[in-house]
Amino acid sequence: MNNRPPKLAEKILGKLLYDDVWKTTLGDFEEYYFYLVEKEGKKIATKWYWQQVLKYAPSKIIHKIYWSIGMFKNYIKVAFRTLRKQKSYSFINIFGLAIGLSCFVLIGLFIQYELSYDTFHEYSDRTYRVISENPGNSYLGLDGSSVTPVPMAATMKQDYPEVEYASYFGNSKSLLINGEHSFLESGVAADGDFFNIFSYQWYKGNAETALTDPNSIILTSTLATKLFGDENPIGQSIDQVYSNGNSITKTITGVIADPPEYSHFDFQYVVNNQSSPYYEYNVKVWSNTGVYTFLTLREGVSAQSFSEKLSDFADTYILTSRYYKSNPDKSPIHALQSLEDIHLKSSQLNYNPFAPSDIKFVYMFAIIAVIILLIACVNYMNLSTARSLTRAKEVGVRKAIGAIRSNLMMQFISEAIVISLLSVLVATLIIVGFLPIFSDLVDRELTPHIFLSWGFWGFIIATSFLVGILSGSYPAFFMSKLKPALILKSQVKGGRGNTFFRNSLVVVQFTITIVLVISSIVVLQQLDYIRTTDTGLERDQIISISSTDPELWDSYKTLEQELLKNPSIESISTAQHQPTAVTSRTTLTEWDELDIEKELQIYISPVGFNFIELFGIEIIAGRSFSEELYNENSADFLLNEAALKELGWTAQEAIGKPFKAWGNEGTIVGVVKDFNFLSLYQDIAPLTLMLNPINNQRYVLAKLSSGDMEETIASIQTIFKEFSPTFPFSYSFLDDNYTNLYASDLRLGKIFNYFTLLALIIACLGLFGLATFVTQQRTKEIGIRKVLGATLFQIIALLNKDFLKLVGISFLIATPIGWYLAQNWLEDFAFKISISPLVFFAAGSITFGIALLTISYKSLKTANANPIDSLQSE
Amino acid sequence: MKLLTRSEEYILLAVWKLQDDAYSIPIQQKLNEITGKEWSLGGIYMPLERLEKRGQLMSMLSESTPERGGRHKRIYKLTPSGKKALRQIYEVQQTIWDGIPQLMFGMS
Repeated sequence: MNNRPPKLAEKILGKLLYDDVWKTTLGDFEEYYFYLVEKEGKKIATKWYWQQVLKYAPSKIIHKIYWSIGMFKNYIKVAFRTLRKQKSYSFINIFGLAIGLSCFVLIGLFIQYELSYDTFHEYSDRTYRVISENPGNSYLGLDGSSVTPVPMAATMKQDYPEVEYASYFGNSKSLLINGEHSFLESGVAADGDFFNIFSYQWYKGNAETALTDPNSIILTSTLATKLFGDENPIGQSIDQVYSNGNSITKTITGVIADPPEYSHFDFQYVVNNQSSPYYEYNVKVWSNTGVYTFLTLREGVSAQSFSEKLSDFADTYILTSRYYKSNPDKSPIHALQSLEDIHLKSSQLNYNPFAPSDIKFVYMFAIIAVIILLIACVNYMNLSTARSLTRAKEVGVRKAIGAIRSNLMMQFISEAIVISLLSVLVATLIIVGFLPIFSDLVDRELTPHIFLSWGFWGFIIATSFLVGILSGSYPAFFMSKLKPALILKSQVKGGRGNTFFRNSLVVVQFTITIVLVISSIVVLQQLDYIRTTDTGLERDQIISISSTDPELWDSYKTLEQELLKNPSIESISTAQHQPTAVTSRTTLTEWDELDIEKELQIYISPVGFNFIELFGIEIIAGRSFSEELYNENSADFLLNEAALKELGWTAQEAIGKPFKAWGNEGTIVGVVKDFNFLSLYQDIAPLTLMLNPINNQRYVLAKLSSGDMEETIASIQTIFKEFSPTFPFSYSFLDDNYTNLYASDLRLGKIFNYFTLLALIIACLGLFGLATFVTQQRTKEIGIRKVLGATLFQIIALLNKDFLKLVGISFLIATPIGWYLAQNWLEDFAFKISISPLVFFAAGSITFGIALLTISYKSLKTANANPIDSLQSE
Repeated sequence: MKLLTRSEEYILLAVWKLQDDAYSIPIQQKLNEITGKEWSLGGIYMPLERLEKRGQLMSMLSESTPERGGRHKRIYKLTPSGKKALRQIYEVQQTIWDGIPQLMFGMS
């Protein structure tokens, strides 16, 4: 039997009773322990031994803290003295770190906001959206889909015991009329457990019963105020006008708070989908996907296993429908997507309700945040190691009077922490000042509420401590190593290792900076390419006016004539889709008169007369649409080159062939040159333009002549109001619509520029500090050189050479990294620039130039100094 | 001069009696033996330290011994001032006991 006291306890006691007097105590304890083992047994003895640990711990710890505080006070005092003594270093350190920290916090806030999407729903952790993968049936380049058929939710709830709540909703945009007031609002048409799954704050009414009646409508508080002012809206009725022109009277059964911004879908009202004119049809049809199905699983149900169970859902339910019986290979595979993931992880899914973000941006931001903070930390490390020589005497004296290495390390780390805490103060000011600008930049409503939360301050303090420890550790390590005897005899020189370390840090800093500069240039070039490239579709001075008012379309001919009376309107046309985003597609199958080898998925855009001319689309064969040759009973089609290529026809062959789309039969009258009807992320796909002057059109397109735009638009609005008094007038410029397709990348480009600039500033601050130090060290040398006849230029070259070499090395390292990253980003685009070597040249010269200016400021001053000043004092 | 407390007195006496073996554990054992109650180690350290500070005890480190995990013992020795203090308290007690009738012991 082992009769030694417990090892761990012995160790702890050994640490607690550290000084001379206590050395014997441990022995006493051990002897007494044996005595107890013999007398009372091992158990009691061991218990007693542990009790001693507890007994001695508190007083010893307090004792230790008491003495550390004394020392710490001294460290702080010295830290502040050093700060005051070397103002420019202090400024560079504190300011650089503050910039780094504020970027870090701002980006942190943004990331936290992004991750908070949809978490406010009570059951968000067990609520899922049913998504599907449709192999071989890709649309807009993706085969994932976020929409599902209407009957799915009810079936899920009925047939799967794991499902606690099930609901679906579809987007709805309709005109709401309360007497005189009418508003075009977007909302959702939902069914089932909508309000059980999604938790909103209820001002009036309640979640359980509000949606039961088919004719109920729930308003957000904003819309309720808009429609009813201060009146109580509950029980009042309003008319909802559907897109087919029918209107249904709805009763208000609830008012809820506006859905928060951090929600993946937004609405102003919720109606019961059962009142929809299409409900009776949709509720039975499995082949029509158009709504978002949500499930809340019972507690304890694993989403993974349930998701697997869903993989044959299609076989059981969907394949029984007529459409899939004849197309069984198009069967979708269903899976679950967590509600909390929708905002960030939907980039592979079509039909997202609102522009979701991408987890890729979150990662990118996180990396930038860490990098900028790192560059700022490197500054600190670099400057303090560089300065270490000037403080070598202090270290020597401290060591001589008995400071051990850990004391010195503590001192330097606490100095770094002092600096980082000071920069927290500065950073807080920067954050408060820049939060609105940053919010605007990332297009999120970030609020400074966070400053009131303890967690935030905890985070800030923890970060600054971490930064302090991180950036103070190398200087601490280096300085504490110095040998006192040598220092005091002034024989210490900056060792090779020290210089090498410093240089490596500069190289790391500049590598990162140059990579950022390269990336920004490429992003800027690509964005510029997007803005200026000829997509084959004119978009200057064209406005698109959207209207779903059936009355307006009934009298469209007259409207057109009225509009054309205005000389500032050059031409007018109509379309069913925004010409920059044609998203409708149909399948071309073989039929009697059309002989094709395989089915063809083809995008279709019904357009009016003049469309081709208005947009300057080039006809390469056949003719354009023409009013004279228009025949109501036969549709005219134009095909693009991509469609011909897929069909294997030449332009000449195509013209005059019979064609059919969406049940409209007719002939191909011409071939148009390929133009981008989707974003530049996608290749140009097969497309047919179908002549359809008025029926079911959504947009009136007008090309304006240059002149007073606002006046022209105002006059258009007046005319529209005559034809469509109830519907609001809403228009957009086509070039805005076009750039909006790239909103997220445009934003990315902007943000990238800012951060690149910041990285450059911080890196240069560091370089400046280092240059100051080195020139100071070499003042005497320069004095002697000048006396011996060195020219100003020679001296500047001498001083700059070393630094520029480092920037040069960074450039060599940064080039391949930058190229790789930029190339990676460009992969997303089907239409893109090729990265020219000039980019690297430009990035190199920019960085090099700025670095040169930074150092030269210092070296010029030194080189210009009178050698007498530097040499007379010894 | 301040008088010794009872525990100080006992400890000094124990140290005296134990001679060369006067370190914490035997002192504790001795006291347990004499007083018939269990003394804690902490209850011995404090007076020992106090007495040493006052100069009534002096201490030295012994050679290290294997049975204590190779650690030293702190051996205590009475100083002349300690002996003086003991004598003083002895006299005080004698004076106080003087005149207490022998009968008292007979009563119990």
